[in-house]
Amino acid sequence: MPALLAAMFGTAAGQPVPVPTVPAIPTAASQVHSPDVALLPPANGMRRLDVSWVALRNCTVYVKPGAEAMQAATILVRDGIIIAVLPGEAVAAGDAPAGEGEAAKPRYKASRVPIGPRVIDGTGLHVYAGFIDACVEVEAPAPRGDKSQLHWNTKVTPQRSALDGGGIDEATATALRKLGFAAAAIAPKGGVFRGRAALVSLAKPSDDPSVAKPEVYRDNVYQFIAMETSTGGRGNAAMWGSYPDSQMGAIALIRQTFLDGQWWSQERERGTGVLGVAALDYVAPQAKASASAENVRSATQVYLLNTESELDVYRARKVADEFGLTYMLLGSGLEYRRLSGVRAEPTSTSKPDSPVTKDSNKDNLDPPQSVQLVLPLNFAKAPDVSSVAKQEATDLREMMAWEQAPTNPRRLHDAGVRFALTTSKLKDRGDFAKNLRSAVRHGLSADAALASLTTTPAAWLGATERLGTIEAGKAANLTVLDGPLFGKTSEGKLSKVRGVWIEGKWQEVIAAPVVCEGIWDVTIPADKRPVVRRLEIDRDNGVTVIRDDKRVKATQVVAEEGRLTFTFDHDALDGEEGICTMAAVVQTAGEPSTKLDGVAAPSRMIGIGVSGTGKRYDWIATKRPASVAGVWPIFLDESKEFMGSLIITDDAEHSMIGLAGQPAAAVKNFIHSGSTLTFDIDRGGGAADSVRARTSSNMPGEKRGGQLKGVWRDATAKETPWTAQRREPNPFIGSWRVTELDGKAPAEDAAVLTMKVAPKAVTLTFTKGEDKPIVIEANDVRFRLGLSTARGKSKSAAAAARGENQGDKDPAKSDEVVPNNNEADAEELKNENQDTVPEEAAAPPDADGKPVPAAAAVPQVTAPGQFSLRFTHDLAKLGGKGKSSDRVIPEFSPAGPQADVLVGQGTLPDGSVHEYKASRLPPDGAANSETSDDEEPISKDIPEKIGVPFGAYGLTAYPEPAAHTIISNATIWTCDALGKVNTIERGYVYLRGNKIAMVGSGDPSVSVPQGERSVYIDAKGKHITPGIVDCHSHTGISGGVNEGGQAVTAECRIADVTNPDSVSWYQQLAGGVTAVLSLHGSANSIGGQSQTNKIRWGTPSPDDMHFEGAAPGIKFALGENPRRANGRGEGEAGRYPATRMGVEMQIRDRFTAAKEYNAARNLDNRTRRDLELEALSEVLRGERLVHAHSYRQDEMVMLALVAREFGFKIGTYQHALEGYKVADYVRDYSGGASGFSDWWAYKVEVQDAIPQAFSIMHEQGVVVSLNSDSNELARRLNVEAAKAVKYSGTDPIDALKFVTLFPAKQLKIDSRVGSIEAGKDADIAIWSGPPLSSLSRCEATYVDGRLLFSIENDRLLREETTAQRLRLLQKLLSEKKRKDKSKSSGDGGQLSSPAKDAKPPVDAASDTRATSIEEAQRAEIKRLFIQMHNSGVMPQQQGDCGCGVVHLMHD
Amino acid sequence: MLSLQFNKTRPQRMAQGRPTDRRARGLGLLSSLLVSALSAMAGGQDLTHKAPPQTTPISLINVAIYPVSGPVIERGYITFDRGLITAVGAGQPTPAPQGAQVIDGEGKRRVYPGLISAYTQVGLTEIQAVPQSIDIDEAGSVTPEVVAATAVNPDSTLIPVTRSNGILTTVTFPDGGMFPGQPSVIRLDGWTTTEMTIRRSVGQVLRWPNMRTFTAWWITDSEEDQRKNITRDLRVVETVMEAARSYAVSKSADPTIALDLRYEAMRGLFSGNQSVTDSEAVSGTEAANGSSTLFIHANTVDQLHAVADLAKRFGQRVVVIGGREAPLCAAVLNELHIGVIVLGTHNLPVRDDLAYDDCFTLPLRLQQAGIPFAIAHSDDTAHERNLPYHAATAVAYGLSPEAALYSITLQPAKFAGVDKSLGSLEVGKAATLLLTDGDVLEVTTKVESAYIDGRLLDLSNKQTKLAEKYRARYKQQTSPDK
Repeated sequence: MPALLAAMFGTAAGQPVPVPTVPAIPTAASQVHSPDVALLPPANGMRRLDVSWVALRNCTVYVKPGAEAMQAATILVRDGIIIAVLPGEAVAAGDAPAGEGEAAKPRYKASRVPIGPRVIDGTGLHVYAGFIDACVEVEAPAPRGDKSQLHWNTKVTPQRSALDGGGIDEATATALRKLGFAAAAIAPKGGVFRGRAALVSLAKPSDDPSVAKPEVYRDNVYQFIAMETSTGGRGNAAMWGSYPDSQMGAIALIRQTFLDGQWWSQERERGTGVLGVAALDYVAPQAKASASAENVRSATQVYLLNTESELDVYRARKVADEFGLTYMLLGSGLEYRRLSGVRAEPTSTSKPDSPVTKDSNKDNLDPPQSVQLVLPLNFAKAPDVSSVAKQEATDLREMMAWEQAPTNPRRLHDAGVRFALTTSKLKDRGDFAKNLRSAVRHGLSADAALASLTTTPAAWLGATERLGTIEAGKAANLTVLDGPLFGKTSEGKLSKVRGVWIEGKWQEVIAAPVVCEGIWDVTIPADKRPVVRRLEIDRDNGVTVIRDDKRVKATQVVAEEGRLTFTFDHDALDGEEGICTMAAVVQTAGEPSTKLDGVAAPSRMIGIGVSGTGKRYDWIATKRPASVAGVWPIFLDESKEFMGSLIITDDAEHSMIGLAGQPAAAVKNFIHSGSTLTFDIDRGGGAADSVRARTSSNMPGEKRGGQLKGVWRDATAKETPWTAQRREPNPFIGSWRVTELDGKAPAEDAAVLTMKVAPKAVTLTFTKGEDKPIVIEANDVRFRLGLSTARGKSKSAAAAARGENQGDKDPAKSDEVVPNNNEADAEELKNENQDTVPEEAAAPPDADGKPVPAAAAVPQVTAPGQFSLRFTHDLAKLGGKGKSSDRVIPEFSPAGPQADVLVGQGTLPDGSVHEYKASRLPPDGAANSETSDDEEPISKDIPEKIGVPFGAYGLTAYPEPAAHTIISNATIWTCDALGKVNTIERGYVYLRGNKIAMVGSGDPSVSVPQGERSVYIDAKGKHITPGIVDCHSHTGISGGVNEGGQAVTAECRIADVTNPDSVSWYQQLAGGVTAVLSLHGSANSIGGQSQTNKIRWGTPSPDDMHFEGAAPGIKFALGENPRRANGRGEGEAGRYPATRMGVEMQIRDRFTAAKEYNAARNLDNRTRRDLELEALSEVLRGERLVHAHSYRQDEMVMLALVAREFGFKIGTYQHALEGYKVADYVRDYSGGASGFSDWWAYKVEVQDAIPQAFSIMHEQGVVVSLNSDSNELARRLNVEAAKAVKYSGTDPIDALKFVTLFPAKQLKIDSRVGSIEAGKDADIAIWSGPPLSSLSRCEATYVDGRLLFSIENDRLLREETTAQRLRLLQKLLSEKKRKDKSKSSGDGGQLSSPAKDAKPPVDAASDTRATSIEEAQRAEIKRLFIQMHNSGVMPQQQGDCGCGVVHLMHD
Repeated sequence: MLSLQFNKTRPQRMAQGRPTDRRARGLGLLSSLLVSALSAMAGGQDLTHKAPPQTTPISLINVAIYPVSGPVIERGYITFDRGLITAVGAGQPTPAPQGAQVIDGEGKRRVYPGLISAYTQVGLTEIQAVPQSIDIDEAGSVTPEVVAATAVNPDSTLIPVTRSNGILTTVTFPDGGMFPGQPSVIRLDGWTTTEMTIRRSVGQVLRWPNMRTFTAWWITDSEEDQRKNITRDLRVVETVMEAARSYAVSKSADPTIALDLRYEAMRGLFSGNQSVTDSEAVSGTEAANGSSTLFIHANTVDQLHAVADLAKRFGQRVVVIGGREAPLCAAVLNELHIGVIVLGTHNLPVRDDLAYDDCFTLPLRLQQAGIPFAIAHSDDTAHERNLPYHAATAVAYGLSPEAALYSITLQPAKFAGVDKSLGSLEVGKAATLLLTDGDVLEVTTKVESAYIDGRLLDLSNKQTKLAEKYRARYKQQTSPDK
């Protein structure tokens, strides 16, 4: 900072700044503006009254997204507030060319800023409103206070505030400032109801306590909610985590808490309830009457709901809409996978209001139907596919996630979703800038990106009046970059954040290095010679000392704070002994003001030198103005129109090409003085445009880079500002592909010819099919770069165009680079070119590289056609003889100077001429010098359409049912309810839309209407069955199948966590399954609510899976699992129940409570709603089916008796493997039994399981079904049914009903599915042979008449999957190659410790140190998982859930 | 998102009962903790009688014969005496066997060789959740000296259930550590372990270390640590193999050097001779034949390549167990004649983007790659009876029925080195065969009778008896007690 401070105080005061008007400014600085002044201690020593009146001038200002950039503008800041933003001019007053424009520029005569503000030069800097991060999680202490006012669950702490603790820690604040953030909404970390967020300034707090603390712009900007779960096995309960340990538990907790909040506020209104402020006051809606609550709540509470996946969006919105919340979502970065979730209308009728109190300033761009998203940029990292084994271990989804992640913001924006960006959820916050840039490169508009960092978060957080734009009256929060956001600096580097102004105080991010880059002429006053030596200093301050033709690399170079010292070997340069030491002070002569970063472009050095012999001498060095030689394509600032390319040579000869209506024009009166250029463009006929420009500071000495900004004044005196970046002067460089030969496109099977042009070589590649490509190196490569001007001129014009420095002394360079220097060809060329531009004699530059002044001659302007590339190539490899000589010229595209098409002409030995056209190929990674190291090339092959679900086998469109589908000639197993029909041989099924319209035998055309839109399927030899119904499934349940945190979890709902993305759904469709009962696990005697689903693979919304109108259900569990016989560790208290006796009493207790609850609610509907007891009341009323996990006959009888006593009928006994012993009870007290065909002996309570069990029950009149309880077994339930035939001789059609009609009956969906009968849902499966044969396979599956699986469709999906895999593997491999190449400075970003990173954030309470036992368990489990994974048994196996065992739920 | 839930249990118990290749059916390791009082209940309690030796010749006539080693005989006969097959042929036996018991299949029955389970824990395992009933995993990761046949429980309830569906021979494997011990070939009938043992030691098992680093929520080690562990594990393999070879060579040269039972047990791998433990204790009808084999659990490309490298360097006869990615390594495996025991087709694809039938078609793809394979399964040991349906699923997805049958009969016999006596219906081979009412690959087919070494088995079991018992309950029931 010293340099900066020196710069700020040194020369600035009193500098005039041109402004039109200046608002009234109070003269006395009001240092104290913080409301907390009364709370601060008095100054303990000197007061700190820093000058706080600043004018930042000459910068490019972007006042708000979408607004045009203000060039050379000035921002006036006083006491942390923006006073004014004053427009400037492209060319500042002091620099305006004399005699030009003054009169035409009345604005230059405007009033000036009164003496006072510190003036800081922001030339080259780009200023944006300070960025706002809408969610930064911070540690906040758990709420303290009266226990009676705390919520029972430690994860429910809505009263907590992010300001309770230390607020944002300085390390995080620093990281954020580095990224350009000036403010952030900080939110408490950890928990479900996490607490209140506050929008705070990111200014560095002063170490003086008497100085006001950084601003809190707004408190309580939202309440932060997450569906957070405890980590498994760490809670107080014996084997489960504390409640909630599943996502459905978390959702249930959220729901109950909101209900409690409503009840709480109602109780307050009634004047009952607790005194004082309690946790629930913070979630109570509109606490009108309660004065105590009024104090702590703002008028409308806004909620921010966290999501961890695209599916969480639906889950969060469902709950939020249920309670009519005003909310935003904290995104996951995965929204692109299901855009409907963020775009669609809310699920409930109540539409959320704008999340903030009505903001007058807020623009109305907000589409009402879109969710408001706080969006992280946590992009998936590239999977390692560097070996065959690793490739085999990498799923397509992982690769797709890597490729698609950066498209998320763009897709959201295009879908009309507004978002505010956040740095949260990034493993490394520092990746934010890189990722945002990547998002922009993937199509997000810069304006949208800027809005998401400024105006959008400002509006949503209710701070529009103070933040978000650069306008008078707002906080002076400014983000300062050295180039345009997402663009490049004038030097062609990626723009970086230089620093942030927060509340008018500069917070530096990058101190700009001292750049003495350039060529310096050294004079030693003691010496009489004008120039004794030169210094060449590169960008990294590498110094070369030059005397005549001797060059010595300097050592021990130190360049800092405006000083430069170095040493060099004196002997090597001057023949004097020893090491010479030189030291100088760098001066910025002629610059009127200071730069923001303290470094103006240096132009002079004064110093001393000490020779090895001790001789001292003074020296002075002056910098040569940077060469502006090169090709400058000029674009108008406003219209982005291409004006033409200015070609500046190091001679006095310059030209303009590509000018509209005038392909080439001469440039006259060219003056380059320091940082300005002026010249005229000869329009011919005496007309001329006059142009003036200003160079960027630190113009590089290279052939590329640097910027000119200027004003174009045409003959009508109209002035237009323009900008130009120096470009590659050789338009041929790059890769090309021949697209046209002799006026025709090449044939499909013809060889593909590509041409790679390097500065000195041309490589031709012929590729034909799978053959090995033929590669030919061309000879006699010569470029004509079209820049030469007139006869007798120096050839260095071309050299300039190639970007050679003045110091380039290669005399061999001519305007045609002839690497092979073939005299004969040169001669030939000369002759050929006679008619256009005569060849010139070379005039080599002098020893110092200075051009020899050109001889006076009339400039003759070249045409673009003068760009040419010539080469010859041998025809031998192509099977021909001799050589082809080619001449290629560019076709300049109107959009820019770089040709995108080349036109070539090849002459064969026989004299025949072939013409061809070639178009430019995208640059191949590292070869592209325009691309910076950290920017991956954007390939155009990223699929725009993304299937649902995301990953393999996703569907880009959910198929519609055909109007009429007639499947004939098949054996039909109707499974009809009355059992009248066994199978229909040669039968047909007619599906109309989503229903079965008709089933019959023989020729369907007799009875089925013929229509154009009918699909006819001849299913000769095939068998058709109803879709299989699996009465016990745990497929596709997100975030835990068990809620084990409480003994009774009837309030949890499987429906809340439906995951339609599990590929297991697809695999089950391929086994003919169409409907399943999705069950909670068996950890509790009374578990969560079940959900009957249809397998609607590819459906947009998760809840579309739910079987409409299916009877609600609930899981009960008896026996070993709920008593945790298999998991009770030593020394653990053990939760009730621990015996089968206790299981009975637990269930009785809850039903008793439910009865009482029911009575209380009936008496007074203001009784607090209890979702757990409500579910049980539904059971008592017969509205909810109990699905009771049970094995032994005793427990089954127990439940039967309990049900009889409480007056309800059990839905099903699940598993029921000893049900055959008590078939009478099962028949009389339940809707049936559902279990495994032949599993046994996996635990003690299943020792007596037998494969005859379900047939025996069936014989006794029990409705029985066979189920899977397994993602794998679910695919083969037809064969499971066959086991009833094998072991008990059950009638085959009845056996098939075990997996179709009977489970449908048990689930009370048999009016819709389970048999093939007219009027039922068109859910059917087609099999290659008899469905009970282990040798048959499923060939097609229809759900709702939609063909969701077929062998043919599967083949197409597989092909697509394979193609995508191959493409992405190649892409990843080439990406890695590029990275490896460019990785020189040890980019360790990917190698951060996964142990640390992989852990999801856990709340402080549960993050206790794992015991050694747990560690050992984890190690064991890990070993097992790996083994299982490798052997292919895992990971989706779930099995008999809730037994408390290793469960791997693939979500 | 993946979620893990596990019990708090003591680590030493967790070390037991690793259902390594078994479905994590909610039982597995952590639930294997029951109080010891239950162990008696969970032990074997098979009450069926063992079969008496064959005393008279038996001739099955008018049956379809599936000899596996040759073409199907649509209508033929098979005669066996004193435990060995004496005649097989088409048509009627001529001359009719003297004094033989003739059983007429009436043209509806089929005869198959007894099915062989190529990889199982039958005999060592009873109730998954009861550690006291699981005898597969010796302490320590290098225990090549232990032999499965030692601990096969002749009265396991699983045995009658298994054999009632035609599985008459098993190759029973110890499992758990890196070198868990020696597999044995077991006949599923006999009063004692000696009577049940066909070949006491088939060779050695090596559970090849995992060679991949994982990033999953359940992984807490850093990638670097994982790599270190992999290197360490691979070094153990290398060290043990080198030490065993060194021992084998030294012991042959100088028999006086001290006997180390561990390396002694591995001698057969190097010398081509039988190790002491092997040659001494063979019992039953057949002496051990062939040299011993190294069975290696390996699935991924990198594992399989490492296995091939080991086989090449140590000159082993290797059979791979698992072999999920073996079709990708066909050239390497074929060069070294390495076969694969497929651990079942009823598994899920390991990657979401794999074809849904990836595991169903693994046998077919192995066949197309020219890799010999047997089909075993990865279900619970109690579900061993479903072995033929794993092969059947491969048929439903393209494998020929002949190849499927071969993979559960002759090929496992070959891998276990007992193909001279088992695996096909040929004169001179053991009369271990079954009579069915249909295709043995079809679930609905019933095994009507089965013979081991000519001895007629009792095909009833605990389950059939329980079924009878409770059917009887309903017969005698007048009204349920309500």
